[in-house]
Amino acid sequence: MNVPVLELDNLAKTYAGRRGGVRAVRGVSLSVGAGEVYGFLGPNGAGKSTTIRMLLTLIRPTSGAARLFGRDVARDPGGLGRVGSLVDGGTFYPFLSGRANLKVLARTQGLKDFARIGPLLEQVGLGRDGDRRVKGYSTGMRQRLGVAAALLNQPELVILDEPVNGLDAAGIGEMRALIRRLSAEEGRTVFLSSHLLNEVQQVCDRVAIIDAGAVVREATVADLLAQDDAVRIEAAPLERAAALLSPHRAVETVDGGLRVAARRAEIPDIVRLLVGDGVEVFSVAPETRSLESVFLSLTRDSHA
Amino acid sequence: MLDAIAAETRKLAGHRKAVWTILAALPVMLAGAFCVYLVWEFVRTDAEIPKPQTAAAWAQETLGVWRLAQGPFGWFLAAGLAAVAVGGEYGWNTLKLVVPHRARTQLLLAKYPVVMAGFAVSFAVFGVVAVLTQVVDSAVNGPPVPDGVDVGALIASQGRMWVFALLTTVLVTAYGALASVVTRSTAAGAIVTIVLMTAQALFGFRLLLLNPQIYRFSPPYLLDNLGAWLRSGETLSVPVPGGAAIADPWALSLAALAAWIAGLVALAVVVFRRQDFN
Repeated sequence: MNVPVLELDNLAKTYAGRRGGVRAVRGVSLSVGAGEVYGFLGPNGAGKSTTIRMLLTLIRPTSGAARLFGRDVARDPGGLGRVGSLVDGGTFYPFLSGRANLKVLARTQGLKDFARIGPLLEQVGLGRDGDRRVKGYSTGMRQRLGVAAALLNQPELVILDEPVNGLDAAGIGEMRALIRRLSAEEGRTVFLSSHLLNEVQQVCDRVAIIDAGAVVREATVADLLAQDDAVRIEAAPLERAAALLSPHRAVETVDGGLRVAARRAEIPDIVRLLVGDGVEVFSVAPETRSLESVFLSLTRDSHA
Repeated sequence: MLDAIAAETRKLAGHRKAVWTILAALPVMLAGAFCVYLVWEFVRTDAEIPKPQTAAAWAQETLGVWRLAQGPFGWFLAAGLAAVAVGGEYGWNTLKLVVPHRARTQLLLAKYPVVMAGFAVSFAVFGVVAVLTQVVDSAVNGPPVPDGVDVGALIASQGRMWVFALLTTVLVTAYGALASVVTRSTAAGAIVTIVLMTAQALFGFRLLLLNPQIYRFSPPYLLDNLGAWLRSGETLSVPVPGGAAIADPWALSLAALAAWIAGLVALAVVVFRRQDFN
């Protein structure tokens, strides 16, 4: 039986305070298998970072369990030795160079061989700045150093909390390529939190959408985006096509085409009907949604 | 644990501005003050010719400066370094970097030996500077170093002062680490420690009047008793209201001080292990 690399079981965190405190995370459960790139998607303040910090033992859960490689991290944090993480955009000793920071981290991890540090700095584009003090690094450079730190112990699971924050367009592209490479070429599992829908859509296999501390939907990206209830049709004359279809189903004109309420399986019947009546059909395709629209509808529903 | 200590050493050694300044402060200040004194002695016209000293008096004179390391200035330095080592992690937000990779207990405990090792070296250099300045003073301003100065005895007496300075520093470091963990701040950690040490020095003796049994196990008496024994070879005999006296052997005071320090360290570990790092 394959043990999930990462498993959250009804994980919750309530911060003490007046009126019962603040429930930052409310019973989050999810499971990530080996080799997956898993997106943890949610707006700012949804509970993503708190969840990740509980996973990394930075925060103690109020209830529930976080398991890494089948072991509860609160009771047996040994699994964290197989994990690399980037939180808060990379936090480092400002008075040390990037290279010295990685050496400190390596010793903390029990690594005595620093040979990986040079190539890692090159890999994240800090080959020339590795000996500069981190105090002088830009946000993007710290983020890159954070990625190098996350990969230092050659982890099986890489946890990245908002990895593209502070990066420019080129940096975002590089980060995306790096995440894909980690999974596709190196076989690592990646758990990626972000509020940037486009990033998640482009690199993740599965996503969980979290809002107000709770997971509101978990699915593959393909399943989330698929919308098997409408097709887009480009045809001429458009008015005639609309007239033929409108008695049977909802039809609206959108951007020079028709949006017709229909399932994918009904497309051949629609095409036959149109062509049989002399309408020229240029394209028929199931309508897809953007992750943004899915995300907005789910998070709007959870607030309703 | 050795890896955690190695990481801590590498980290603190790289903090030139704070760590090196604190550790160099005592020897550099002593050497600097001596240079000013030499210039002053050179330019003043009313200098008296010093009287010849016995070897014992000359050796004893090399010990006087140790009050600097064992007193409030030394506390200030120890509180500062403990606060930088422990409270700094909160300020730099670096606990998020290291906590997932090593047991919290080890991360915190690794800081104590590194801080103490730094002070051990600093105090050793301070002792060497203390003797050298005395030698140079004797050579420049006279009278010359008296015959019969026993180098072995000189090193032993300096060593005893070194030990007492370290004992004081261990206690201050334990306070400093605990205060930094509780306040999660470098500045607050240092300030709370200095306030605690000052209050202890100012009001510790009042415990004697309130309850002699508590006083004999309080840090002010323990340090005074150990200091007296290390300086003169004899422990204190403190009169108690009612006619008796507190006169504990040094071993008991040392054990009680060790228990205090262990308690402070344990408390810091317990608090640190329970903290959330948001």
